[in-house]
Amino acid sequence: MAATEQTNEGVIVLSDNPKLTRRKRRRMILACYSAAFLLATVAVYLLHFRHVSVFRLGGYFPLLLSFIIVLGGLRLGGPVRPFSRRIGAAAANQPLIQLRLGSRKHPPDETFLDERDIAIGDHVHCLAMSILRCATFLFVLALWASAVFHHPAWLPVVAGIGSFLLFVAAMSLPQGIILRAEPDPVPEPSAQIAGVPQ
Amino acid sequence: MPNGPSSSNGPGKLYNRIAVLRAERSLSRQDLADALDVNYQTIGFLERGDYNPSLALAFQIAAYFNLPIEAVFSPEPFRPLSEQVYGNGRNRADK
Repeated sequence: MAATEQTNEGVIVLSDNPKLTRRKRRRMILACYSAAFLLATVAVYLLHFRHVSVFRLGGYFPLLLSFIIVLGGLRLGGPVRPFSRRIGAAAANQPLIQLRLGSRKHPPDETFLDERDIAIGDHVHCLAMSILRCATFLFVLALWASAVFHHPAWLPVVAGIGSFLLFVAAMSLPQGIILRAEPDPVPEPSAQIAGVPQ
Repeated sequence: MPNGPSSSNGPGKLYNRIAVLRAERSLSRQDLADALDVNYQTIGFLERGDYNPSLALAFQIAAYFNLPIEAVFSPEPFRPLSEQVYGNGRNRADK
C-alpha cells in the first residue's frame, strides 16, 4: 500500500507496510525516543569527557543522528513527522500523518483534515504541551539545583543537549502520541450488511 | 484520544443509526464520507460510537439522509427500526 494512495486507510497511513500495527508503532516510537536519548548521552560523553575531533564537531554527530532518526532531518520526513494543519480541499482524504520509513516520497503539503482529525490534533497538542511543561520544569529545576549546589563542569554540555532533546520532543511529541494511541483502521464490515456493495 | 464534543464513554454518549441508514441506501463508508466531506475512518468511528459528531456534522448527516436529526442521533439507545415502524408482534396481535 503506497503511502500516498487515497485508499482511506484512516487518519494514519503507516508507510508502505500495512502490517505496521499499533503494537509495532508503539515499539517504533519507543525505539525512536530511546535511540535519541542514547545518542544524546553519547554526545554528552564525547563532548565532555573525550573532547573529540576538531571544533568538537564529532561530538555533535550523535545529536545530528538523533535528529534524523526522530524527525527525518531538515526535510522533516522521518518516522515522526511534524504536524501540519494546512488544509487544502484539493487534497481530500489525505492522511493526517504519514510515516515514510524507507520511502523518499513526499506527499502534497496540503492536507485535508476533518473535524475528528482536528479534534485529535488539538487534544494531542494539549497533552504534549502538558508533558513538555513538566519535563521542562524538571529539567530547569535539575540544572538550577546542580548549578547552585555543585556547579559541575558538565553543566553547560548537559544543558545544551537537554535543550536539544526538549526541542526534538516539542517538534515530535504530538505525532508520537497519535501514533502510539490511534487504533488500527477497522475494515468496513460490508460483507455482513446486506445491500452494501462489496 | 478525544471522542468528539462530548465523551462517548460517559453520560454524553450519543447513539446513531448511521450504519443502518447507510446499509438501507446501499452506501459504502467511502460514499458517505465523500458526501459529507469527512475522512472514511471518521464514518467508522461515528458508527461504532467512538466519536460524537459536532452539531454541524450531525445536522449534515441528518440532512443527507433527509431525516430529522432525532431520527439519526439519540442520547438513548434506539429501538430496532422494524419495531418502531411496525410495532412488536404482541401489539399487532392485540389489534
